[in-house]
Amino acid sequence: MSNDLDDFKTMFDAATPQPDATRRAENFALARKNFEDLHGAQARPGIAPHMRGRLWRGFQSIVAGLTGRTGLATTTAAVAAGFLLVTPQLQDSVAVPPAPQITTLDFDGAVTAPQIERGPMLSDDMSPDLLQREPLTQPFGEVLRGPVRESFAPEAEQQNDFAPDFSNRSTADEAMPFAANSAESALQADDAEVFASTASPHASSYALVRAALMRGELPAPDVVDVAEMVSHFSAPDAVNDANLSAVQLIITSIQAPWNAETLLVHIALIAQPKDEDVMAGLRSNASFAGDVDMQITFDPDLVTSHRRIGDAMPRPNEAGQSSTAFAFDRLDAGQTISLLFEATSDREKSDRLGQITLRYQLAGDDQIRTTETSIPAPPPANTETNFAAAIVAFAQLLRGDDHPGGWTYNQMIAFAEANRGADPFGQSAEAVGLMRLARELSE
Amino acid sequence: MRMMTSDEDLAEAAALGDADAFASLLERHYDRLFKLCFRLTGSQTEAEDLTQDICAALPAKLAGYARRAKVTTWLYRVAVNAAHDRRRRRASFVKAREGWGAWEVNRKASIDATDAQLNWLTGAMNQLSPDLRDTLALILDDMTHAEAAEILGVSEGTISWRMSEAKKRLREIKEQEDVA
Repeated sequence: MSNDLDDFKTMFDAATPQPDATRRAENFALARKNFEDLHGAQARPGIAPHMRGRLWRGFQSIVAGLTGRTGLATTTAAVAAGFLLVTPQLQDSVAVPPAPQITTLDFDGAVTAPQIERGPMLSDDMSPDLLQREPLTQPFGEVLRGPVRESFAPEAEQQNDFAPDFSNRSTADEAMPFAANSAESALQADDAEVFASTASPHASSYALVRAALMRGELPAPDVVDVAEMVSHFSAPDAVNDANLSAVQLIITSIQAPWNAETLLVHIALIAQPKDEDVMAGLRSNASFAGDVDMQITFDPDLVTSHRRIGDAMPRPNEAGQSSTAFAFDRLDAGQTISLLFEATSDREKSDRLGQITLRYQLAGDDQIRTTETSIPAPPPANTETNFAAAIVAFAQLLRGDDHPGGWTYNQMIAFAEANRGADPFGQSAEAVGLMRLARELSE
Repeated sequence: MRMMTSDEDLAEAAALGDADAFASLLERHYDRLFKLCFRLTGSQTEAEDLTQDICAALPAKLAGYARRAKVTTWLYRVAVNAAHDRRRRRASFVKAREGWGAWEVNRKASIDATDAQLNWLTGAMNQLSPDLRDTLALILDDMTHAEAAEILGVSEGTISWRMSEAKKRLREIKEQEDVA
C-alpha cells in the first residue's frame, strides 16, 4: 500500500470498533445452529436437549455462545429490562450497567432454574439520600426498560388488550394520537416476534426508529412516538423501592429552547412490581394493575394553554377544560406509558404548573389506590433538558408534524450537537448520528 | 492443539461436519471478519448484521470450500458477497444502497477527539462509488491487489485502476476542502 493511504488507514483503524460481545455470542450460536441443521445435531456438546424448546430459544442462543460473564450480564440485562431504573449517580459510579440478572446456566454447562441475582441497583445497595431524593427535582437519568411483555407474548392479539380506552376522553380529536398508538402496538407485535427470535426484546419506538434509519429508510410516521422517544433521553427517575408494588408516576418538565414561554411536560406511568413479582410477571404475562385512571390538570392561573404532542390544536385552559383524562384497562408488570404535553406558561409565578391524580387497582387487591402529584415547573435549561428538547423536535420532524419551534434538520442537529453533554455511553452521539441520517434521507 | 492446525485443515474438517473444527475456525476469524464488515458498511450496527448474515450462511458455504483457496481469501469473498446481497435486498431504498456510514452510531465517547477526522472519513467514503469503497476496504485490510482481485472477482489490473481512482478522488476531496 502506498504512502498516500497511510493517513486514511490510520483514520480507518481508529474508527473501527470492536465487535459487540453479545452479538458475537448470538452470531456464534446462529452459526452453530445452522451447522447442526446441516450436519446433524450430534456434534455439539453441552446443551441439554430440553433447552431446545421454543421458549428457551432466546436464552439458548445467548448461553450457547457465551464466552464470559460480561456477555451474560449484558444479555440478561436486556431480558430483565423494565424493572430497573438507573440514576445518574449510579451511572457515575458503576461501570457495568447494573441489573437484576436472570441466570439460566451455570458455567459448567448445567442447567439451573432461572434465578434473580440482586444487582447493585436494588434498594439495599442504595444510599439513604438516594432513596429519599425528591424524584421530581432531579428528573434526568437513564431508564432501562422495554416491552418485555412483547417478547414473551405468545400471540400478537394480546397487544389489543393494552389499547387505551377512550371512553373517558373529552374530545374526539384526542383519539387520533392514541389511535396511531394502537396501530403501532400491532406493528410492534409483528416486529417483536423477530426481536424475540434474536433475543432482543426491546422494541421501543426509539429502537424502531433507529433500525429503520440504519436500514436507510425514514421510519413510518406512526412508528415514531414522540413521548417514548424523549423518554429514552429524559428518562424519568423513580423511587425504586423493591418492596413496594406500585404504579409510579414520574413527571419531568423541560424548558423548550425554541420559545421562552413554552414548556414540555413528560409524564411516565410505570408499573413497578416488587422484586419477587418480577419473574412471576415474566412467566405469566399477568396484568399488574387495572382500571387505571389518570387526570392531568394544568392550573388555569399558571398555564394559558396546553396540548398533548400529537394533538392538532392547543386547548385553552378555561374553566372545565384544563383537565385531560386518560384511562387504561390494564398495565403489565414493567410496562411504561409515556405522554408528552406542550404547555404555555408564565412559570415565574409558581414552582408548580398543576397536578395529576392517579387512581388504580393492583391485580388481586380490592383496594383502590389514589395518588396526587404536582406537575413541577421546569428547572433552568441545561444540556440534558436541551438535548431532550432536540429529541422532541427530531421525533416531530420524523412524524411530519408541525414542530412548534419551526426548526429545520440543520438547526436541530446543530442544537443537539451543542448539547450532547458528557454523554458517557455515547447515546447522544448516536442520536445525533441518526438525526444526520434522517436529514439525508429527507432531502 | 487446534491452534496448531492450519485454517485450511480446519475448513476442510468443518466442511465434513466436524463441529469443533467449525467453532475453532469461526473463533479464529470472527473479529477480523467483523472489522472487514465495518469497513464495508461504515456502521457498527450494519457490520454486526452483516456478520450475522455471514455466520448464518457459513456452514452451507463451507460445504463448497475448495482447498485451492486460502481460507482468509475465501472468507473475505463470502463477506463481500454477503455485503452485496444486503445492498441488493434493500435496493428499493436508493439512498441507503449508495450510502455508507453513520459513523456516529454506536461510536463511543472515548474517541470524540477524532470527531473531525471521522466526519471527514464519512464524507469522503460517501463520495466514492460502492466499487471503489469495497476495493479500498480490502486494501486497507492489508489485502494485496492480487487477493483483492480474487475476492472481488475482477482482474488485478482493475484493482490497481480502482485504487488509483480512489486515491485521486480522496486527493480531490481534500483539495476542495483546503480551498473552501
